[in-house]
Amino acid sequence: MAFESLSERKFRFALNLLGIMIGCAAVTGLISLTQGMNNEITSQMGILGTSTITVIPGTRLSSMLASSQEGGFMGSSGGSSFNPATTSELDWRDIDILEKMHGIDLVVPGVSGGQGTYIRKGVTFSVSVDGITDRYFEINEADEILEGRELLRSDKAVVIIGYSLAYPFDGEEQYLDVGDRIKLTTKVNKKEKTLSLRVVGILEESGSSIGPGGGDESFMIPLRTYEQFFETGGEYTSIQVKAVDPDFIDQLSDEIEDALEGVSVITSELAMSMVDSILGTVEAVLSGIAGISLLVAGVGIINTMTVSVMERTREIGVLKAIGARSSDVLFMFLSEAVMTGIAGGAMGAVFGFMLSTFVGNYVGVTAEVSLSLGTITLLFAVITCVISGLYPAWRASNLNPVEALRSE
Amino acid sequence: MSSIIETVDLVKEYSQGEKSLRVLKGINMKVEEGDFMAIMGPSGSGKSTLLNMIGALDKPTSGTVLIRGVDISTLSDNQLADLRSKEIGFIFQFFNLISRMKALGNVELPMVIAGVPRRERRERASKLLEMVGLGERMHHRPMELSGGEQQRVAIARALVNDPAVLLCDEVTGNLDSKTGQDIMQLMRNLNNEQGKTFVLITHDPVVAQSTDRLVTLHDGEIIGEKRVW
Ligand SMILES: Nc1ncnc2c1ncn2[C@@H]1O[C@H](COP(=O)(O)OP(=O)(O)OP(=O)(O)O)[C@@H](O)[C@H]1O
Ligand SMILES: [Mg+2]
Repeated sequence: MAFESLSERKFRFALNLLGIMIGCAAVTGLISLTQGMNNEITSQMGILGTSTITVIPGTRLSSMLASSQEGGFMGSSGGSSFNPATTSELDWRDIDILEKMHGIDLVVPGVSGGQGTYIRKGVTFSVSVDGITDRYFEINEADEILEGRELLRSDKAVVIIGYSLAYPFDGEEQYLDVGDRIKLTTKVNKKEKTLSLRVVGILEESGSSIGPGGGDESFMIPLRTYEQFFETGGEYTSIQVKAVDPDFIDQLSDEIEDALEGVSVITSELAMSMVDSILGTVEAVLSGIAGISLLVAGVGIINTMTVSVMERTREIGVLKAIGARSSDVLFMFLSEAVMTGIAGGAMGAVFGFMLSTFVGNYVGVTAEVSLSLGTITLLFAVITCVISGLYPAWRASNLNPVEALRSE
Repeated sequence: MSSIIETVDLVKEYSQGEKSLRVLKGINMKVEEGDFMAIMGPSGSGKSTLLNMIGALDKPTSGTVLIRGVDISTLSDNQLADLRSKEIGFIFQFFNLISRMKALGNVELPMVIAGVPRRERRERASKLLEMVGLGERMHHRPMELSGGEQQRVAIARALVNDPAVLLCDEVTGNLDSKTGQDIMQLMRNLNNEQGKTFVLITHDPVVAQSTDRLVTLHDGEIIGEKRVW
């Protein structure tokens, strides 16, 4: 019988450990994953460059940003209530205005959103298509040519392809090379169209499948060619502007917003703060979930320790009879809780890192495995266990020894 | 000889709701250094209560308990714990060993509480276990030991901090008569050879007869006291 209760206790200890471990694994895993995501996005945002301003049509984004930064747009002037938030588009007139402004080095329009398919070596590939100018690479310094060349002013039916299109299946075999010709097929206004293109360049791998005209699975063709093929009517989806002096970028973006009505202006700083706030929310929600699982584990510990104190009442009586102080008994039970916390926290942190690395691999995010996060998790686990164990331990230490010895 | 323990008009009451139950009704008793004495009395007469009281495990309702001349009601809880740790050894009817610890661990426990260094603990515990005849059984858990062996472990545990007094609550009550006699012999030897003071609660007249002095308790009062020899 004594043996039974012993193994039962071990079982309960194991359950506690599991509870704390799951809680900690959730905390560590989720946080390291969001941190990894944050790192990833931050580094991608860095590509925009500190002196680059991106202008996009519509005021929705800028008013959103303004309200998120200034705490509500009710405070802004009443005149803005009639802002045509959706209508205006970007075209050559905007380029004209921008090129005449002071403090601007370079103006590069771009179009994106095109889709198409082509067949190569019997495989059908679908790609997103962007229209760029020959100045594109001057402003998007992170996009580098691996093989071939950049666009020339005179280029017409040519294409620069993303890395994954040249080496689609883990780089085993090259499917497209500089000089190859392909037929891009798409539907524009419900009619089938085909465009013959010659590959002039292959981009270096960027690691992302999306991005402003630089994804690994996209085509970059000359702007004019894009406009004709996709029948855009001369509208741009974005205009990138390079400021002469990055220090005046905020002032310049204000001026641009005033000069071109109905547009939004994105600087890398603004974009970053937006991403930060979104990721912050995600992280808070995930941490909340993880926190709840730790809380549940804590309640489990309270329960187990209370049972354990009840079971060991007689033992506590014996301890006091042989000279244990109340503080000794308190310490004994608390140290059990601390052990649970250390073991569960450490195992949970390791397990959480393993999980986030695994999941991160799967979704293409490098989870951030940091000693500081592991330490915080461990600390958190120990604190949870101590808080949960405090009341049962206190009760144990305050038992009357005579009563405790009389108990069965 | 000076009194190692003395009670003066010791009263203990338990309150049960409205009315209170007077379990000890003014006990005046002395335990002298080197005594080997027994307390007898019918069940419920207050023997265990008295023993807990003189072992500083419980506090009197009124009256005083003096241990080595010190009124224990003047001591703090921690001081009482330290007193139990150093001066008193309890031995119980049902052994009260910690089941998940080996014999050695059980005997070491009071020294852990008293803060004795590990190496000395090990040494003293094994020596005592050898002395009570369990040299071969140190690494067994209580459930792997017979009743008599468990009681020997309990005796070793009570002795390990070298207390002056051993308080024994029906230590042979749960053993057969042969084993009980062996345990009595062991305690008698400790009394003779090391001068340990023993206070034994017993129901067994044979056990009572083998002590030096007998106090009879009835309904919370001492009704008789005699020298057995
Ligand atoms: N905590 C308590 N609350 C109420 N009554 C108690 C308490 N402890 C002991 N008693 C009562 O005090 C009386 C004396 O108890 P005690 O245990 O001292 O008797 P005892 O002489 O040791 O009996 P036994 O020989 O059966 O062990 C009993 O009537 C018991 O019910
Ligand atoms: Mg009793």
